[in-house]
Amino acid sequence: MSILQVENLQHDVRRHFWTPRRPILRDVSFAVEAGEIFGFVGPNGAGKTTTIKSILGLLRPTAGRIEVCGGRPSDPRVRAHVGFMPEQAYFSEYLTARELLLQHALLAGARWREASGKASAALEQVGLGPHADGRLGSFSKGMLQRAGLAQALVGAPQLVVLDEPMSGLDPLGRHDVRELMLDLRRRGTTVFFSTHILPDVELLCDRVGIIVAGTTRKVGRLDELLGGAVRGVEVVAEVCPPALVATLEGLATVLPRHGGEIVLTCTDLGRANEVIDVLRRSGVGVRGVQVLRRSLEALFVAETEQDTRGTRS
Amino acid sequence: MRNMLVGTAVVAAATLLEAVRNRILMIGLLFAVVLLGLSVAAASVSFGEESRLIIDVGLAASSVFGAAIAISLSIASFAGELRRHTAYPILARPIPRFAFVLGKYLGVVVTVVIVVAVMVAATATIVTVYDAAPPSAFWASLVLTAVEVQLVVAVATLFSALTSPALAAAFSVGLVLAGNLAGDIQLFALRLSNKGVALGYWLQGLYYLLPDLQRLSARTQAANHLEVAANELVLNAAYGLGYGVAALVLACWLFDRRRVI
Repeated sequence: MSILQVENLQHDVRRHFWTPRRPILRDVSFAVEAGEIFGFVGPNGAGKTTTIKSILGLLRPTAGRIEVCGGRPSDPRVRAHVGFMPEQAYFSEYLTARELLLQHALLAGARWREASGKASAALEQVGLGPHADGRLGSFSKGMLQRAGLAQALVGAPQLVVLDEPMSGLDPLGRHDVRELMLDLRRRGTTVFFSTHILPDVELLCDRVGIIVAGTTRKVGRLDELLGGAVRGVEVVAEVCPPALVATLEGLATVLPRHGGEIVLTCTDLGRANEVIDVLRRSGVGVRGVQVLRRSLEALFVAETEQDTRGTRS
Repeated sequence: MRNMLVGTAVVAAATLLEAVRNRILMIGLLFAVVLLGLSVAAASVSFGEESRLIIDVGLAASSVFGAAIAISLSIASFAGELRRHTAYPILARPIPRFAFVLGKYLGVVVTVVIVVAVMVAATATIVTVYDAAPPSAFWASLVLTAVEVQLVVAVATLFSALTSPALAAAFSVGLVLAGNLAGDIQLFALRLSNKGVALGYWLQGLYYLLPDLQRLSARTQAANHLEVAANELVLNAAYGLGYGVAALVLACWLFDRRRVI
């Protein structure tokens, strides 16, 4: 069952009243299933944030249909089930983290008596418990991102919408956010996040949507989008005598590596097994084996270049 | 209904808290206190007009600085928040858009009325020290200044709902200045229309659109120890409140219909 459905979304903007309208979103369509992590991927300026603003009712698109948690984004009751973390930490610098979370707990529908407890719990969940009474103006970028995540989660939403949640975070911060997102999925919360950091998508997402120049190009499971087919197998072997290298050159492409190791690129798994057998019989150790499949980066670049070629022609 | 009330209250409380911690408020209050001090110094060489001078300057400072703080706080807390996108997480919550407008309005009005009350109380204290307790018109002037503040905040909120912070500030200041000249515009309009000049009728129409802020001032009466009739006070206050409410309703309606936040 889809918790979020976007159909044929279009949005045009006009920079000044005397300038013509230009399209930001041309045709965006995708659906997010309940309980999954959905990655919304696209280059800068593709329309990710505009799409998110449409989902949250911050923007009324020119055309198209959006259904969130069974209702329209313009209905305030629907937004009670949605938590949102903006791309930049858009919070008042004069408030403390606790005040911010209290504010959002109340806005999310919590009663006064329970709001304080929910605020504290959300701050602990993102690791900001010790900084609860610090002013947001004094927070680092990473701390502000955590505060943003906390206010998105404080209302225990069914759907969490995160706009570039890893933006500006150090590796430890990104790890923590990834773990949080995985924990949300374990608890049955649906996570929809936009990003252009592809390794995070490959680590986290059940399904992915790729948007380029305001149009969704691909939507589906990662393994389906990437084809699943094996493009090659790399075998890394220890130092080999020249005679053995000559034999292996008949089975695979041989490239030397640092420390005297060699990398053997085979066309398929069967050929890779033959190479490994030859190495074993010769008493040469295998340092590593990696199956090469089409990467998300390759797909992403192909889709973006296709758009660039289309623009030039 | 609950979401609307809670949303309005939460936004208003946050606006009040931010305004108190914001330096604009302190700077405005400091300027007013300095001006009051200067009036006291001037009064010492005014030969028997101390009370009149202090009341006049004190009430004028409350009105001018009240309007200035009202405009700057309204713009910063509404148009400024929209520009900086700090309003996004709040507007993404289950509250109607007009609750955000109402909350901002209430938060700024409460803040500025407190500031104005402090300035007026300081003036009253100094007048009492120099002469005697201020006349009843002084307190009528406080009421009318509070009404003027809510009107200015409503107008600034309306412009903030429509346009950028810079333009909203320019329009708000322009309307307040024009409002202070509204009575003169009406007199000029009457003279022209009595002579059959078409411009007179246009200016008469303009007068009805502008907020007549001269009706929300009892400084002259307070400074000269004249009485302000109760029905005049009620009528003028009702006028100011009505204009403010109309501007606020228009702001809510327009903001609700904005395609892009």
